[in-house]
Amino acid sequence: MIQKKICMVGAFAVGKTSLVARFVESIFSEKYHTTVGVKISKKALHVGDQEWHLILWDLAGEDEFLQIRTSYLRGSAGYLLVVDGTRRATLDTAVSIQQRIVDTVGDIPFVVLFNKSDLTNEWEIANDAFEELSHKGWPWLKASAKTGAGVDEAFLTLIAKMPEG
Amino acid sequence: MPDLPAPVQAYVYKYLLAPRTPAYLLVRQDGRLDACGGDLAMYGMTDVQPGSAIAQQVPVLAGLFPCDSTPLYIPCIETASGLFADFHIFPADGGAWVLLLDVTVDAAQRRLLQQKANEMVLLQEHYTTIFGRPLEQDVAHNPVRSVRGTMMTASLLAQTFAALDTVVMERMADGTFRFLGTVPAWFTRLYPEVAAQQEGLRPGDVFSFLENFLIDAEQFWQAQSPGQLKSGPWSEMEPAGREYALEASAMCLGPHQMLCIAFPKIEFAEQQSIVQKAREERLEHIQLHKEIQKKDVLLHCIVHDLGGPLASIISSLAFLEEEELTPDGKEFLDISLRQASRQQQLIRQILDVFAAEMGAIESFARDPAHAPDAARCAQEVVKALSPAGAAQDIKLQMASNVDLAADWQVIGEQSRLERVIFNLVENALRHSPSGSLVTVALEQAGADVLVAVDDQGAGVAPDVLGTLFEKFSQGKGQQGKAGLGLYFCRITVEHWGGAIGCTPRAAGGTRFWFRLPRPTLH
Repeated sequence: MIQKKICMVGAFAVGKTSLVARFVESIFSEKYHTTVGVKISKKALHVGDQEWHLILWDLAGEDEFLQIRTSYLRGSAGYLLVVDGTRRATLDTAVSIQQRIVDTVGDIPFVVLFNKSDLTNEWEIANDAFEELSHKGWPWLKASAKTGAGVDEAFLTLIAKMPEG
Repeated sequence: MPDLPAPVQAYVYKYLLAPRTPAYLLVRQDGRLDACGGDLAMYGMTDVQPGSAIAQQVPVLAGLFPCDSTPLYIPCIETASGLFADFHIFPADGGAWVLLLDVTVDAAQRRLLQQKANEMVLLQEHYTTIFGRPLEQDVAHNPVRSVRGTMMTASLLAQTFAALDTVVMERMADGTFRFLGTVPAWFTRLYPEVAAQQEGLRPGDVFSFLENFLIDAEQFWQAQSPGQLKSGPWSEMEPAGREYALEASAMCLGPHQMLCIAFPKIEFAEQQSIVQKAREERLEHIQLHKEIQKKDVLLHCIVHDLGGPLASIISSLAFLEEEELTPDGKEFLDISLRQASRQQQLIRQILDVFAAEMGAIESFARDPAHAPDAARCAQEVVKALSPAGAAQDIKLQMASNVDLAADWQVIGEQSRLERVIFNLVENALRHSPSGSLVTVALEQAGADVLVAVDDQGAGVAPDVLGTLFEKFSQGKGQQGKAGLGLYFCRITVEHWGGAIGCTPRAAGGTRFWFRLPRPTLH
């Protein structure tokens, strides 16, 4: 059994808690419920012939008043950098957070996850943003906590990048 | 507090008084309420009304009125809401002030201490009964008295924390922990096996969150730091699926290294509620902004479409000028052309502003190879608007001291820069009397170039001066104008890193000016 800590980070209201709820419990609520501090959940799953126990740290989102405590990422095997695809500014926040995480805990695996992919009419992320991420070597995916599309794939992509030891 | 400096008074109010939830009553000598304020609802006083007999609503005040001039202090009174308050009663003209300060937490601690003291008395009595001599007599001869005293204090502290729903653990030399005092019910309910363990605890194994926090806590304990180190709140899920919030803190009590885990239900809910409210409002604001942008785009499309046929109308009217028309026909044609051109101008202004707000002015030059020449732009504008000035008997000219051979390059984009100067000159012409002069001047101003348009008009009215460069701002007598020309100038100039303004001229009239930085070589 492999036990790993994974953190969810990003700007406020990008859907971190909803992604965890979708991944862990397969549920979704339209209502926005802000996270205070850290919310810890657990998820066991099989990847190949290995059993993984994930401890998911859902960190309170960042805004101009609250900055995430990057020290919370100590001991993490990886993190999902969540962006709201309908709010362009949340990508800038994610980039800023990523830099601070590198400064605090160094280079650990991460995946940029563009949430709310179901809201195509309100989508604000242009293709050049994805190209820029790819150019930087940042893995990214689109997902929707509402429909569930891409959510498991995002976690599995991150798991694939994490060392098993 | 005349002897206390204002910052000290402010501190006293903010940190000592305000957390005590002050509320007050002003009671007349006849026992009727004169005035009230503060957070009376906290104390269950929701229906106190001026004029009513106060003793009926606040029984503790019964029989106190009329009162003499001696201040009275009644501590720790349980109020209608269940909270405890200190009552401070002191004289006022024709009555007395009653000040209430919340002491609920103090009351709970006092009650616990009292209970412990009572238990001690009972213990002493039992001891005397059993052993036939007082406990103090044995303790006085016991070398471990001080240790026992310390343990008693620690135990009392742990009991206090338990009453406050807080788990108290002491870190042992081997890095494990042991519980002190009674483990709160919530912890026993959630972690019965851990609660039963008492010693050899490893809280990091129970709470993933604490594994992280203990890294900081170890440093805190090693440094024997004063005060406490708080973890910040975190939440876990009960097996039943309910979420509960916790907060840990590390502290040193003498040689003891303590770890507390609190169950801050109320504080957490309050914090959650405040952050939730702030963020919901922020999201609404973002959504509203998006809606406004969508409407702006729609408006832009409408205005753009309105401008399309206008170009054809003006062309057709221009062709009509070449026809043989009656004098009346010529006059009507002249009016039509003037009005159509005016409307075209309005539409252009609206589209300019829209383009600027939507970021179309993002593209501009900062390097000398592409930066526009302000003098050349000014010349073009003077040339284009001179006929319009002449039609109003206003002379438009470049200032005579402008050396056109000098370097007048500025950061910006040529067509937009011409538009800015055009708007300022057109504005000057509109406010200038017949027979006057409008002059466009340029000056080197350090790292900037200053462009000024001087007129000899009546000057800007003081009541519009502050909003002249705002959207839809209109001076007097400007019916039919969109009020966007100067606004466009401001947002464009500011976007290029410059500044814009207007000042009255000593010789009469107004100077509208803007300054832009020179381009730099990278």
